[in-house]
Amino acid sequence: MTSAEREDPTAAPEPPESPELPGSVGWTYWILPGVLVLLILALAATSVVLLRDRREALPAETVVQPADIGSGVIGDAPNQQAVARARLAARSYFTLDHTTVEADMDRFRALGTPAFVEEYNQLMRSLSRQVVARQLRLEAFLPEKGVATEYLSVNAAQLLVSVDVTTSRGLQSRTAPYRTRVLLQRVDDQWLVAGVEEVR
Amino acid sequence: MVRSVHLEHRRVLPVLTVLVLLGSALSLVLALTRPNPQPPQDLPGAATGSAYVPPELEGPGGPGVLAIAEAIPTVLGYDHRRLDEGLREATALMTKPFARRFRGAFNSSARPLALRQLRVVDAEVRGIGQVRVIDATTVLALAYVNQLLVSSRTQPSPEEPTVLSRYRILVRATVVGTEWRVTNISPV
Repeated sequence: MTSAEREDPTAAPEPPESPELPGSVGWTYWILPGVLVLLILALAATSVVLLRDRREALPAETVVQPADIGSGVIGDAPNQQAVARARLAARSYFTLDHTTVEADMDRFRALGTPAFVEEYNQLMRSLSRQVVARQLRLEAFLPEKGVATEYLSVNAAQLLVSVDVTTSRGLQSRTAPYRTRVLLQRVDDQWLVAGVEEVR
Repeated sequence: MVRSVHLEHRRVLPVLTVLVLLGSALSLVLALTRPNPQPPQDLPGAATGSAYVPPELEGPGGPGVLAIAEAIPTVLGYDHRRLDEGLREATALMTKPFARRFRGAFNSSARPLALRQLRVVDAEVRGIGQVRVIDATTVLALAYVNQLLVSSRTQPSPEEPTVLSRYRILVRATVVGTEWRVTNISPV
């Protein structure tokens, strides 16, 4: 800019860098209120879902007829699914290979209620280390007619599952019979494992 | 105009913030007090330290499973001082063909052992459930049974009974007249 231009009072002022006029309100001004409104909507939706959850009371603890396991292929009925889930749970619980121990445990975790998975994690902490350190392979077999329904309602099931567990280390192996009780809980139309205990 | 928008903005922000805080508090309270369905506390086998209470299952097999649970202590327990009486009570709970087989097996194995070692053995059901209902009058149950040595020649009065065996057995029962009778017992 020359000195002549600087002194020229008629020279037009340079346009501001921002298209907004000084003191005007741009869209960025509304970001915070917008975020707050979105948060309020999300919280309202969450509260509505939680309230609806609360209103849908659990079905009454009505006992139902156990599945007839000998009647053929296990179907989709809840009493039959309880048997299938208890079998799977017992097999998964006792199947651990030192080379795939984490994947084996994940398979079992996928079947459990959050509370029981927490319990399982604590129980398995030292056991899984032993399996790896001693290079063990545990394999579960379910004998024929070794599963029975001890209790069954619309909300919960308790099944007795006989399991034969073969523990191998190198070329050595031994099989031990176990008597287990599997507790299931009906959550969102599926059975989740709420407990596995050895019956002594 | 711009000033009024500024004023509006200044008024709206605290209101929105309070609403967010209230909404968060409500969601938190609802989430923390969310009903957590728990299985019933009085399921069979749940009580530790007390006697097992067998289940009352729904359907035609339920009474049969209950009858088996009640029969097992008599059938699998024995006392060297009253073997004949015990055997009579046990076989009264069985069908005639099975009673014959059971008597033979008892006399060849349990009786000599009981007499030689002066044994008193209790049978305790630790779990029982329905495997299948074969027909309206025949049921198959799986039972977990402990045989407890209450006393013997070497331990005439032990403080605690010793567990002799932990069985997994399949027991079949059928209705004879109006009563359930054991028709077979086999190990799993």
